[in-house]
Amino acid sequence: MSSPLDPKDLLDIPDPFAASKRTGDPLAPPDVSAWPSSPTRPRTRGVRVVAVVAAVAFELLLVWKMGLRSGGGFGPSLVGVAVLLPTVAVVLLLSAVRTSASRRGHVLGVVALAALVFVVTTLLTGGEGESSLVGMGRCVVGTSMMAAGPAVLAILAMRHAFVTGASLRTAALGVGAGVLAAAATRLYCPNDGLGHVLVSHGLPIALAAAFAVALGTRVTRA
Amino acid sequence: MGTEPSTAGGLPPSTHVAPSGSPEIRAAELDGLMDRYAAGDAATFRELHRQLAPRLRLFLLRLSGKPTVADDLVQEAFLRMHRARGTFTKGAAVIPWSYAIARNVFIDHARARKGKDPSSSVEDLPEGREPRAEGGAEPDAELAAKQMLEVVRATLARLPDAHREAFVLVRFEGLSIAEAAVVLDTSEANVKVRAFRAYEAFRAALKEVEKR
Repeated sequence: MSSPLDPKDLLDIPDPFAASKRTGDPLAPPDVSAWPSSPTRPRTRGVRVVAVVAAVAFELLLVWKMGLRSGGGFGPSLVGVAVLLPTVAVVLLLSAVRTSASRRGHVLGVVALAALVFVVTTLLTGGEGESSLVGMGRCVVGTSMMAAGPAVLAILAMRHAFVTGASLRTAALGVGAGVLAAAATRLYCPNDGLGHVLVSHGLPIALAAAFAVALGTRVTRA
Repeated sequence: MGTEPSTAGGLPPSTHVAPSGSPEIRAAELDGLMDRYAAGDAATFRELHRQLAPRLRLFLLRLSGKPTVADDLVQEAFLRMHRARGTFTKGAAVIPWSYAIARNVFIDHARARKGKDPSSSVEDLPEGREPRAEGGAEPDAELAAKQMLEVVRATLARLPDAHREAFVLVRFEGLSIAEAAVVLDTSEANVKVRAFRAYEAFRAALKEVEKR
């Protein structure tokens, strides 16, 4: 064999199942009317749009319940970026199926981008703040709960969508939900301390990814 | 919901079933059919099944080694394709997509069977052998060809899953390296390496036979 990368060289291995091509029984089509109904592409798109809107509404509702922090102190662009990011992630994940580029790298890129945006925006908007275990615990629990809703919505919206790399892609959905929740938390949490934000608002992103993988991989895998 | 596949509208219901060995699939036509099915044209299912089922069955047969298992798995693969049709991206290629789903079905089947029946393997398959010539001795060339196929079949069964999948897709299923990479969710370079490792195993096994 001249090169290990030339598939033409494989042709000298005979097909032991070649006889099956000639002798195999015809396959009758199944009775699909007996199968459960499945959503069409337009319906699937509609469900995804609804899921994104519902996720953002869910965050805003919780922020409203918790009460907006007084005096601002957070960059308005942070919220815009954080809302946009999960949407971009979903679009990239969907388009990944069509490309011949490395799909794993594609998804990992989205996850890395989400983490980078979170860290950079935290550094840019962070400031003074006391760190207490009670305050950190409260934010970890609160942000995790805020991430759970969008994560569940994303999983349901992406049912049977991932034919390959379902775990990784589902984790990316969880990261997207976590970043959205972390951004929303900044709207009510008055503590701008870098340590507090990175740990208390950042840890739930990882928790959301783990939650999504544990709960959603079987749902999102085709 | 109006999304159920039916035999009415669109393409006429086809009663013709293609022989499994002559699919002659035109990729673009298939992609168009899947696009229409994903968009809700339920009547295209029969044609999709007619064209894709023989290929997927052979693929699953090559992975599982058992015709009855392959028949069951191909039905499960089509059920999953039906379930996931709304997620099929417009303009995407249906062949890698359907092979990836069929592979998932096989992986799930293999996981479910793991530990249940350790004796089952590709080696005990009845299909894939050439029909035995009636009466008397076989010509040397025919015997040698048979022996070669047996060696290939046994080697295929012994290969690591990753190598077997890559080799089957590229050599037997006729997928391009890029398409196989999509099915296996890995890089093209990785597919080439896996297929080459399998090729090396086949060459070594065949060399052993030649020595005897």
